[in-house]
Amino acid sequence: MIVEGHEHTKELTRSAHTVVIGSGSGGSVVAHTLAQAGVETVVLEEGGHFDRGGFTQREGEMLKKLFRNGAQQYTTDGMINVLQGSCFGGSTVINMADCEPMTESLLAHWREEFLLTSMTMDAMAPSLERVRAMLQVQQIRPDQVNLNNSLVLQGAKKLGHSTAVFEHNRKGCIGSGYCLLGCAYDAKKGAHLNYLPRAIDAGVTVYTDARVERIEVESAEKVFVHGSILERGVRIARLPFKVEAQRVVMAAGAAHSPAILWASGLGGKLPALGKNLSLQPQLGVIADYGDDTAVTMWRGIPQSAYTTAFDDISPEKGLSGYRLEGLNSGVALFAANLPGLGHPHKAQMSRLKHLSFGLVLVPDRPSGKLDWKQDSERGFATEIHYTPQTEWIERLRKGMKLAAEIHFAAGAKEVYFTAENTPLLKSADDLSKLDDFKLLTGSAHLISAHIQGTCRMGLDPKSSVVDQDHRVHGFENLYVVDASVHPTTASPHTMIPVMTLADRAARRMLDR
Amino acid sequence: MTLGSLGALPLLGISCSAPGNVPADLKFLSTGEYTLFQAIVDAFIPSGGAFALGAKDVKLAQLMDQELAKLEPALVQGLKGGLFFLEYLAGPLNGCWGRMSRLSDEDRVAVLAALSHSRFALLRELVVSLKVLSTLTFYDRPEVWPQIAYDGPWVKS
Repeated sequence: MIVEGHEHTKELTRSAHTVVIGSGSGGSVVAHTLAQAGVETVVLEEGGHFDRGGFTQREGEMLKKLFRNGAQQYTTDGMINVLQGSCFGGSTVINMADCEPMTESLLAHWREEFLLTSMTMDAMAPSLERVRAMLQVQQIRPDQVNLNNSLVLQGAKKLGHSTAVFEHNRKGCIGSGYCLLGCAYDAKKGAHLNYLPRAIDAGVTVYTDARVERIEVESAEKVFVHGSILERGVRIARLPFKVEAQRVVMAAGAAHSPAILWASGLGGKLPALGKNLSLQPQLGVIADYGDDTAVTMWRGIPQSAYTTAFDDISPEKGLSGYRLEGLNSGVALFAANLPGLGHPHKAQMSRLKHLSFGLVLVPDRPSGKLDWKQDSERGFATEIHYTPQTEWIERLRKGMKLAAEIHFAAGAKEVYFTAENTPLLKSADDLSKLDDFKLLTGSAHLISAHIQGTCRMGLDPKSSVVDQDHRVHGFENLYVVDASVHPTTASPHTMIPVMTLADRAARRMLDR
Repeated sequence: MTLGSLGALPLLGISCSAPGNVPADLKFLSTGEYTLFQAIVDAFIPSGGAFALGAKDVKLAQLMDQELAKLEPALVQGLKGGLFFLEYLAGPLNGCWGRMSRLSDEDRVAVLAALSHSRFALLRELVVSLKVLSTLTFYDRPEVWPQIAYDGPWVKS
């Protein structure tokens, strides 16, 4: 059953064996797996419940409804827009449906550097298989690659660079192009269409508009979860709630799970809480293909093609390198990130039909941390501190050059980037202009859709937050099952890794 | 950019400079702030040029006032302090004497452009934050879409 915030007329108090905080890629899988095994489970979701009838394909409306902080969550210096879903189904509702699992090299890195001996492909394979089956993962067909993404493939091919087309969890896609705003046709198979309904069928109650503000661990068998039922939209507390459970699973995402632990007074016992933040930031690239080419980037699957030539993954370094991915972000969001103002900005927007858009994706090493301060309304406010490392900026420059080269090879007339100080490149001969490009706060428009690492998995409680079973160090009945446990970035696209680890974690809980 | 990142800016009021064009039912901005806000969004998205519509043609300042009132308080923290800076200090610091709302259109654009490339990160953030919110709201308007050859959502509400 789903109980929405507006249905409550008085304070909510109840009990369950397990409370799962968050209904996204981690929480949905855990709730489903536990419920299927007969565990009485409650899910608490801060965001609202929306279905296909509520997905209006209007950016102004849906960004506010479906994203954390209305898609206005930024690093403290304002440079990186950290996007996270905050609704029934979490980020699986609003992501680009890219399915990239963890690789053996990545797991080898985790084993070698973090001594996570149980992180093997053999151990992951059954979980990965179950996740892929539930999400109906399949290869994007060549005829589903729109021109915006095809230009990446064409340009890279001319330069001799290898590329690939994503696997995705869509079925029956009609190519409207609004994946970021929730699929109005239920073609994108997010957790709201599979794991959560099946969990509900197995007896799970999902409370939406229910913000967890702190947990209170009374003993190894008893935890209280405290929070507020919210007024949807403005997210102002309307009624309190309190749920008693034997086990709590934090799956509120890498910004919010550690925040709840901090607000619960556990920061002193968990010195690594909020540290080791990875954002895997991405910079937008815009290519103008001239009057004779109608790219019409907003139609079709928004993100399907990417380069593989400069992906770099090894047991020594983990995920590194850089790549170019095609993307349609939505027309208004695109406008907001376009450099310039006044008439020059309008002039660029008037060329929308001829513009191609993509992202330079550069995996990072952990380069930031979360901090918190008291907040009268929410009890706490999270600050995301992040400083790109010099080595990362160098790879970003290489990625920018790659993106420009590819677009010029594919026939672009001009290339520039989502930064106010971007150079305007007229041909591949201008690439050297990027040598002097400075990544400035208040100038570069970076996005992150892959916040990770803030409750790192590890063996040492001084340098990590959870053990290999996702249990919080020092607590028998407290778990974290979301992207915050990744010791380093798990994949260029994190939905499948989070779900795979969640499937494994839930089964380890059942085995205990 | 985020308005939340402007939290360090002080909360100060702007005196009313031109009440004649101000809607009576403002939800978030004061009369003085609205006058300035309107001038700024008109500079960001002027009428004419590459296509006809601009901020004033869709009543963007009024729309944004209503939207700002719906945002979580933490997200708009610092906005009013930022507007105060823009009104009284941004012009003089960039060689244009007078309040931002009373500058000529040309001078206002020049000051905002200079701020977006300022050596001070907070000033860049201030201008770019407002630009992001303005353009996000403007290009979500259906009346703008034909002007940029965008055929709009397939779902019709």
